[in-house]
Amino acid sequence: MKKYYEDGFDDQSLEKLEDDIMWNKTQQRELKDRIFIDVEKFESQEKKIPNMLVSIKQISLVRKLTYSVLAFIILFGLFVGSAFVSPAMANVVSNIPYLGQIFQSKPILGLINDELKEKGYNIGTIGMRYQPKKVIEVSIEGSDDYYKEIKDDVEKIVKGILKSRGYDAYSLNVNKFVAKKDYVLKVANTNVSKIYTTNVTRVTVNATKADKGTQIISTITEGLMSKKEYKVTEVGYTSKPLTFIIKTSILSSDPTAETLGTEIESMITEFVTSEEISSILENEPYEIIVNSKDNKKIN
Amino acid sequence: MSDFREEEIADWYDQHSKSVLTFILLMVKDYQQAEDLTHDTFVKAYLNYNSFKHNSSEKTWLFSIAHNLTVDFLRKRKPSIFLKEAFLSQKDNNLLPEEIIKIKENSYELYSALGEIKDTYRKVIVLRKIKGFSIEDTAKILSWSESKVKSTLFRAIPILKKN
Repeated sequence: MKKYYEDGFDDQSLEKLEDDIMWNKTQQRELKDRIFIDVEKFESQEKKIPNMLVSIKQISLVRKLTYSVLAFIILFGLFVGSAFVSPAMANVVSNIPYLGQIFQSKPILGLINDELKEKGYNIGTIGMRYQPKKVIEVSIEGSDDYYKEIKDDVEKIVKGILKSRGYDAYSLNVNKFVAKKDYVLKVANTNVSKIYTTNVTRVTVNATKADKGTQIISTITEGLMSKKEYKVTEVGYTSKPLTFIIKTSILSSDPTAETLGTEIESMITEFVTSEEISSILENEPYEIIVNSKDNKKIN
Repeated sequence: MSDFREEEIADWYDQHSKSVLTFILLMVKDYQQAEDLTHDTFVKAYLNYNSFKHNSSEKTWLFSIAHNLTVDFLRKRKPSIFLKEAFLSQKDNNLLPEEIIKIKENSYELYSALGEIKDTYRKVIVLRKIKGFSIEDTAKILSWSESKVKSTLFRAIPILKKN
């Protein structure tokens, strides 16, 4: 029994399709020759795999490799990119101690200076004050008009740099550079008494090699001072015996004082014991003291 | 031994090459690729001649090789087709080279209708209805179970009819 379908495709027409497709005989013979040429080539060369026209394995291998390389590049990009967004993020991701990163990167003032110079601004001085408030000061050289023109841009750039480092403790002060007159040493008339005469013939400056503390103290200072959460107001050290003294704005009566103290201490310890720094310190013993606002040790 | 093998393959080629080619052609809808895949099918058959266990006809064996190669090829080609369609919004209307392969007028409609339906439906219709394989052989070629062949065919016919 034959089945007929409404639209006319029935079993018969399906069967007929096979015969209705006609393949050129010469083409068929040519293909046959090609097959046997390839087969003989294989036999004579003893190759493991003859050349298949539609090679699938190789391509997919190349593809797999491309995909994995691409994926790796993207992941690596994200990894590095996230580190650029915030150092805190980089810290979480890479487990490089926060202070270690600053040590590896440029000091903040140098960075601001380079960035502004690169943009072509005429900058007089860039400075940083810790007392009474933490302020970064940028003074612009040039006319009033020029100052007004670039003030906003400079502010924006510097704020951007501070933000990119995650430094939130500073307020920014952009002002006009006022050249100070050379300091004039007024020497009182010495002729009044002729008993003393001073002859300055030579000035000797004792250049001493920076001791181990100085090499790392700037990093600790920048790292701790630049974030509000650490509440650090002063960083000091004595070289013999090596002691780091950190003063914070927290009161010793504050319940979180001790946590902050230990946190700061562990940060410094982590930094100091990192490979790079411990090679500078050469196992010199050190002490860390974190003081509260009312001068009580809180770590 | 190798001469015998060559003779046998040549014999098979004469008997089945057209059937294999049309099967692949209906699957890939591109003559040049179909020819290349047919080439590969017979080269593969030659290479793996010793592993042919004779528990099915050589035609079934050749078709399963052709089927596997075609599936691999389609799988490989899919992403590029997808991209082509997405970017050029062009359907591949690969016309057949007239001087090499011809389809009679009244069957051409069926050929294009077959091109419209899903791969699985198409191959089961082609094998069962056009090539006239038994359910058992079709199951072997597609490495499906026999009941899957039956149910897929049952679903495929009305869909072909609709197109």
